[in-house]
Amino acid sequence: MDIRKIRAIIDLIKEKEIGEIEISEGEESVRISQFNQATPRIIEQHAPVPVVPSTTPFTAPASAPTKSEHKQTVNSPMVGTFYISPSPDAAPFINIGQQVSPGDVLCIVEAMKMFNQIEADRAGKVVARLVEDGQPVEFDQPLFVIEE
Amino acid sequence: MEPLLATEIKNTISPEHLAVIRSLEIFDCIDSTNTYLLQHPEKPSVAICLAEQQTKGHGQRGRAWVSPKSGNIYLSLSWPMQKNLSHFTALSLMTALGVLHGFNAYGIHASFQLKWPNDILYDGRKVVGILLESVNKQTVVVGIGINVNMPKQYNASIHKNISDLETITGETTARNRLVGHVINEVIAMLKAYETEGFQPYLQEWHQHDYLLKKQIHLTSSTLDIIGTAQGINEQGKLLIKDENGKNHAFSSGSVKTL
Repeated sequence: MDIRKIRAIIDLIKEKEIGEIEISEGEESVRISQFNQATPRIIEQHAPVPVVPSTTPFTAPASAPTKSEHKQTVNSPMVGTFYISPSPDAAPFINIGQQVSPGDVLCIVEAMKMFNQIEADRAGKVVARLVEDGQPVEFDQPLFVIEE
Repeated sequence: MEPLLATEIKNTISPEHLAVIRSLEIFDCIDSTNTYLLQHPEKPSVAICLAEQQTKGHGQRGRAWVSPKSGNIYLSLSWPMQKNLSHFTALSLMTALGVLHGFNAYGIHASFQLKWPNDILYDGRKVVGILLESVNKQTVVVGIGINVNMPKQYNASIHKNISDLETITGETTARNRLVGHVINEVIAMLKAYETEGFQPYLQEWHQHDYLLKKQIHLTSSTLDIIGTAQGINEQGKLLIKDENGKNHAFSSGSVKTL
């Protein structure tokens, strides 16, 4: 995965105070855990290629977090359950890597049988989904990363 | 079967509530009354849509809501959300109480029960299903399906214990008057929720709580818990005491009684 992308994600998790995110792109996936605010740690995995070391410790630059101007998260407006599709058998609203326009539906967050379609608030490319289908989400929890 | 007529329905709605209704449309056949209002967000709230029949009536997660032209009520109402969405989750439970009030105002006083989060049951059988949907942060569409007369041949396809109002009351339903009362009382509860929240209605909910003290099984894609239902809290979450005596509160999931 492109190191610049990883650095941008680190900036993002610092900015949003996300504990841990996992992002998949094709056969590569990267999981970034932030055990405390000062030292984010990266565990990079190149599954399913076995010859590559499975973990590579990585320390972020010590500089102060800078706001990423090109990547923004879409956050959950409420506590509830996250769904990537309108029904279990249906295709996801969007796929990672897809371009979206403002108003495009990204997912549903449901609580007490109130189903809320969450829309993109900007145009861009969806570079990451931060929550698995069917998982509970908290208020303001980042759900997607959109790159302008 | 009395056909639905806007003028007849409006006769039962209070002038105060009538004043906030910008449109009331009745279709003979439509895909889904909820979908119609969701696809017309430019329609000013409060907009109401009714249909005699739905071809794609749906419940939660795309499950079918069987909607034949047999005298049932398929009603949707779009409601403006003044506050942040996070304040609105118990709206779902308030709607169920509103429908119950509508039944009472019409003159049906049977012992209905509420199954969390918002099903209305009679003798353990489902009579009303409610589904709230929103596409933006300004408007929520409240969908209410009322079994008034569900022909018996649909019971097998629904795979559920259901009942309908005409079986319960043994009488023909004056549908326009019933719809008017339901709209009236649901709007009253939606308004009350904005000013008072859910807390003042918690006690009333508990009086009708079908699950209370029952052994239940709550499931979702990430949950699988068996325990005793302990009612609901002020946010409308379902409270369960698990087999180890530990208490939990849930905002999602499918519940079965054991």
